[in-house]
Amino acid sequence: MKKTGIAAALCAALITLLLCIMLLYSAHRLSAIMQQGGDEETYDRNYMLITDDPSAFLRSIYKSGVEEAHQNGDVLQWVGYDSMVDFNLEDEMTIAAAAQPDGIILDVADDKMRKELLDTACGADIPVVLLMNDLSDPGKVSFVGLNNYQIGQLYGMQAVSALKSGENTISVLTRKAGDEQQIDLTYTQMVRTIDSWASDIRVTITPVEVSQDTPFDTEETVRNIFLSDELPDILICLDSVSTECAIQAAIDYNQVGNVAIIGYHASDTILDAVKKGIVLSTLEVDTDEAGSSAVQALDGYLSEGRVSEFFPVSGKMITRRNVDQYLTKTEDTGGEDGK
Amino acid sequence: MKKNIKLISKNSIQFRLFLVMALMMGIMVFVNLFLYQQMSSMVQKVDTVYSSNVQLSDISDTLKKVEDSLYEYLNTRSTVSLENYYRYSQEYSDLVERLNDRNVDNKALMLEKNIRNMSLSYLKKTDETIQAKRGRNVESYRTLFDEDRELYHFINYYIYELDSSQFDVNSENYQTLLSTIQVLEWISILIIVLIFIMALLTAMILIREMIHPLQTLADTATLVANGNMDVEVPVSRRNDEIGIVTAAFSKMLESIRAYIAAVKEGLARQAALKEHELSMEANLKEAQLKYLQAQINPHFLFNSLNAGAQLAAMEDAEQTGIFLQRMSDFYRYNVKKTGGVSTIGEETEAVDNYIYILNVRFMGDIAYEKRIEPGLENVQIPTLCLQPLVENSVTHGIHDRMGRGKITLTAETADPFIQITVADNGAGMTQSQIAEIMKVAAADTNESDPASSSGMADAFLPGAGQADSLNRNSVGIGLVNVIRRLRLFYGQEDLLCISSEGKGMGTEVSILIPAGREENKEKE
Repeated sequence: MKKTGIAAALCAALITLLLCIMLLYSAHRLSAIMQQGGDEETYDRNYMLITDDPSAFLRSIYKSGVEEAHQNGDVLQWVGYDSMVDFNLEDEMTIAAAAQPDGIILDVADDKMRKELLDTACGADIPVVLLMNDLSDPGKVSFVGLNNYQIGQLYGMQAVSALKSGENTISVLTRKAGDEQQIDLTYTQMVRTIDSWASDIRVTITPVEVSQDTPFDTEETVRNIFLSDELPDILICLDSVSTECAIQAAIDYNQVGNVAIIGYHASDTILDAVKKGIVLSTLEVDTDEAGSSAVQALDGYLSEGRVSEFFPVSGKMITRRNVDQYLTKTEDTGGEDGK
Repeated sequence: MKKNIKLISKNSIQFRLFLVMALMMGIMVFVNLFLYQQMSSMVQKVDTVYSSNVQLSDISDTLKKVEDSLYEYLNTRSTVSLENYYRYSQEYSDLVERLNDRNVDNKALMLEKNIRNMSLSYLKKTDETIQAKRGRNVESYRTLFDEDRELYHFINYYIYELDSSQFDVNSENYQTLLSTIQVLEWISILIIVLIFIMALLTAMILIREMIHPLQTLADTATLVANGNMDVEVPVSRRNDEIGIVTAAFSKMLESIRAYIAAVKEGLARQAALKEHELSMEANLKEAQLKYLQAQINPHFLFNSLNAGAQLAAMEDAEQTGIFLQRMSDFYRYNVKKTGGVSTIGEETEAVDNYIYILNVRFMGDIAYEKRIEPGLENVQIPTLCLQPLVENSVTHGIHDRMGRGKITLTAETADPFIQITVADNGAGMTQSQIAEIMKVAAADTNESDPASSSGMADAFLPGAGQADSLNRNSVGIGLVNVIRRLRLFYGQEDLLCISSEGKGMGTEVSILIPAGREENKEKE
């Protein structure tokens, strides 16, 4: 009888335990589903980013922009990013204009397009901050980007370090030939720096335009350079896509060491190439600063009405000597994460 | 009724059974309700899992209706299409108003907000298109319609994108809920099985708790039924029905024991009493016997009687001397011949002495006549056959007719017998009395009444009334004794017959002796 009583008590204990497990389990499962909506923090402003550069560079800027936005009580969306439909820039702006965000961060290489989009946004009374590519237009709020003189100087110094005795050819890849003003500034400063630091060496500097009209133009242009009879001694890339294309082409055509690549941006691929000596050096734009400055520019305008401000983004050359610290930093942050 | 109420107390089996049943039912109901609630909430959640997709589907459908009605109106300018447009645009506006309008760090919710704002922009533009159409501003409404159509597509793309992402999430949630429901189902089954087992175990405990004392009681009852009255009745501390039954059984057993003890005591007392009675009777009889023996002691008797005769002779009391001498002869004959064989002459002499003694006692009231056929004096007959017959005639026949009573003793040959008859003119006997006596005589009994073999002694016993009673009772016995001895002596039945013509007509008792017994054959 004692055993029976113990067995009955055990059954009762098991039943109670199972009921508790059931309650906790279902509550846990339901809460996991419930948490998927409704409890998020509400932010004050909604900003949108429109860009024609889906590279890791922009993703890095976007990521820092999102963090800055959250800190300031804002939300930042990338129009068309991760979308099932491939919208063009006009579509994205139409969408943004209809969605009525509090501000737009615009990064478009083509001047004309940039102007068009800026006008559309202004027509919808949406303030616009230009990123990485400026425009002299009263419609913009502010500009966040590189100091072209500084950039030109940095690239020039790197080119000087790669010059050999005798004749040297330098090809400078640009995203768009139409970006003449900026290219001119950077290019001019670059030439000036080379001239001043390597006046005794013959250097031929040639700009090479990379059309953005059709996809994959950059890669084709870079391939053409490496397939041509006259491979330049130094190849300067002013964007991350052309830099990565140049790295791959140098490897594919076994030209590593034959052409000194000076690149743009510090993606894992580029840093690795710097470490391996495929790339001589690369210009690292402080993407954190770029993203946060873009958001701050919009906040400044909406909060205090500040306009026509220039938010400079610092740059630094990464060479083989200091690449390890950037590689370490990249490992610590778990690699690039555009979103 | 009061008894019934009393039994349904908190200690009764009925109450405990009810309590246990209620408890188990309560647990079952509670668990079932709980399981139902859990499953119900899960099912409700399942129902709402795809509600967002359904909502987006509604929005998309309504948007299409708005666009189609707008196109229809621009195409035909019909009132119906305009009405449809206004109705659907209102409907669409109501639908998109339900979408999120907060700035949150959630892609899906921000998509909702974008759809909402784009939809509001779209509706604003479609209204402008309608106005332009109504104003017949062709270029304007065409341009606006292109923009509307463009926006319509963008909104649909976003709806589709949101729908897909939500569908993925909702599908995950759906799978989560399904798996959760499956797990809950298994747990529910397990719980129900455990409840079933627990109910069985509880029932087992309860039944054992009820049956065990009953079993013990039954075993005890079996022992009692087998005769073990000293068995220990199990003590029940319960106040329920079983406790009552056990207590009642215990009381019953105590009562039985007490009754048995009382019966035993009663039997013992009866036995003691009986023993005492028997002992008294035995002692009395022993005393009587001893007294008789003392009195029948021949030496004492003879010496006493002789002394008396001598005394009488000395005192010249002749009659007294003769009386004492005749008494001495009578008792000497009785003592010497008891159980033996005598002759007819000796018997008749004894009868003569008996009659003489009685006549002395009753002052000659008994008339006696003797007629013995010559040659028969030496015929052997059992001793003391005749005297008891004469004694009976005196005691029962002529006792109440003293002075007029006559006894006749005859002995004559009646081939092949020798008939000895003792007749009196006394009270007589009825045929039933005769039959009773003969019946008693026919029964096989070994008892002999000492009184019948010495009828004279009975007459002299103290308490003559009692002695008379004994004598009266000894008619059958004396005759029985005579009949038995005649049967034993001669080996034949029916050697004694009694005849009487009724009450007051006297009685004749005849002995039939088979001829051929000589004097020299003496039986001891």
